[in-house]
Amino acid sequence: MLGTKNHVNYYEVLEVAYDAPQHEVHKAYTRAKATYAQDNPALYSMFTRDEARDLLKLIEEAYSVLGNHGLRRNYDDSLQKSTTSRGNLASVPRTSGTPPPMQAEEADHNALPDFMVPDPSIPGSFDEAQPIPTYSRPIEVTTLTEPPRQTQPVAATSVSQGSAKLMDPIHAAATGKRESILVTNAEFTVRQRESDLPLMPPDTGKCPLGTYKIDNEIEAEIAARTEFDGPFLQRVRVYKQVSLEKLSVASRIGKTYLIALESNDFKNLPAPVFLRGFLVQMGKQLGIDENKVVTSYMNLAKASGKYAGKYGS
Amino acid sequence: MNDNNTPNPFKLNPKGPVKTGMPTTIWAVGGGKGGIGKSFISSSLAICLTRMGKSVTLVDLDLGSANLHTCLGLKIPQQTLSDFISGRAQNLSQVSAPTEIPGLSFISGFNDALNIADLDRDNKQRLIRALRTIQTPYVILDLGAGTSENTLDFFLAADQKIIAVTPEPTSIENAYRFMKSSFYRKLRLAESELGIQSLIETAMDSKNQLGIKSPADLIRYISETNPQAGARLNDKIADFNMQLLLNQVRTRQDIELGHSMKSVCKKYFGIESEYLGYIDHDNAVWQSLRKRRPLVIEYPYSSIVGQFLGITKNLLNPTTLRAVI
Repeated sequence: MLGTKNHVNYYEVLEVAYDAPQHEVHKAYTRAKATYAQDNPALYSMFTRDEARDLLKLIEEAYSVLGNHGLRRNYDDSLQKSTTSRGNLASVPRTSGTPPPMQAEEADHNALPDFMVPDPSIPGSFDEAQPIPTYSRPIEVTTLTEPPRQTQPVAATSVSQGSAKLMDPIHAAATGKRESILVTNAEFTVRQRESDLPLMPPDTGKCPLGTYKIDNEIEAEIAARTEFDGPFLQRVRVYKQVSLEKLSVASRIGKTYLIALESNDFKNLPAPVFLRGFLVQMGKQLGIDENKVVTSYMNLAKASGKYAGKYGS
Repeated sequence: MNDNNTPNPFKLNPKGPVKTGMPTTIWAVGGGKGGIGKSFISSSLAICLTRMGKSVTLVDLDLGSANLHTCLGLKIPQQTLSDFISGRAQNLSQVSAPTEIPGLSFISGFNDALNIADLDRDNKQRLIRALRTIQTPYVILDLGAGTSENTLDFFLAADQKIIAVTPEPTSIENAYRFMKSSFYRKLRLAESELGIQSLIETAMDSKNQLGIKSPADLIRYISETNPQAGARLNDKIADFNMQLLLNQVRTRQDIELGHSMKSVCKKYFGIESEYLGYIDHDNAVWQSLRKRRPLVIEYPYSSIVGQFLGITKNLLNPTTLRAVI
């Protein structure tokens, strides 16, 4: 029935048009979720509980693809290919213009929607595999020449699995060991770290999103730096052992945007007013001077010509 | 039956526009359950249409328990549909009575023991043909409760199939029941026309092995096994477009029910339906009914009349952007 794979078209599952903008996809998803929730009076006389559960699963699956820019573009391409081979091109219009060829890195990141809410029930919502580095074992600082976007958070590879269970709030919320999901709030994180302060060895630095091993050379470089571009921001992030996922949850910036930001991919970044907000958030979360970040990065973005003739600049 | 010698429409509707060879558009209001406001909705839609300068004939097809005249504030009419069915009246214009509302005529189903179940096949076909030749551009059918074959056939004969539903689970259940019944009725009519009866029967015989659980699955299965028949079947059922109208809405969740039902219809039947809009629960409704005065006349500036006007506009111009007032 509906579940058989070869019939499923994610656009039909969510009942949105092929060219629906992202916010409509999101709206359709919330509506569909409410519709196929078990206690909806408009449901029970037509679909059994099992059927409704299958539909709900399908809806989640559809949104995990359509809710993410990169994955949606991929999916559109495959859809177009399959319809072209069947000689029925007209039914699948492009999402918007001709998208650039898919970059490997975009396909790489987790299949999470851009509008991500921390939800412990969704696997992958948090980087659970990443225990928080502690002073109990020396931590190798990851080399900064690593390929930029790994699916697996950098810290997870360098920190031993058996380290002491000092969980950060996000991780705790994910595993349900602390009472409330509200602990993902950055402020709380700071307080949490402060209470840990006496236990910290002198060479451990902290930023709002966790602890890291201080490297004086890099610290000096960050302090001296006035020009912040994408790759340098990424360097700071990797140095401070903050994964993309964690930064995305804490700053409420979609991962797609974070990736674009870090790779100086200006054409995929939003209007100046939003970009400015993103940069402030990023600076705050990484514990660096956000004013410097905003000023230098905005100059960079403007120089790229993305906003040429737009927004009165 | 011959309806060509109907009198001048001017006589029927002294102030209404003249019919100029335009085809008659039939709206039917059904919904399965009783007491969900079918008569109230059809009378209000009719008056709203006259407010927009259209002339309308309102037909009470709730044979056996017709009371649409009370919703309109009319006396029990002298001539009714039973005169037409028994042959005492040659055509519908003889039983159609003008009302105080300019542009609105009324055909009553009241006044004797005639029940909708008593209508035989020939008379039903004759009545449906006659409805098509009514001299006003719009005809609104007020259907009775239940899913009797005759009610379904009148519903399927309409151009706009409006399903009235209230947010109560009982009403929703009956509305779905009504949709299912009319959908299968439509399917049965289509299959006998297309000669694909055997195809559907085979599919239904082994539906459990084939994993067919809903009409959407059935149609998909037929399209796969026999693409030609599938395409023709899809053409046939393409005009089965239901319009959901949510009545007696009290909360925001109630409003969302319309969207949910639309989605469930799409997933279950595999056909598009439209969420026309909603009507608030309003004490003005029973108050006007006690006074035996139509709500649209009695409280013309109430929000609920605004909602009716918006819905009427949506029904008139289905291509324009839908907005719920």
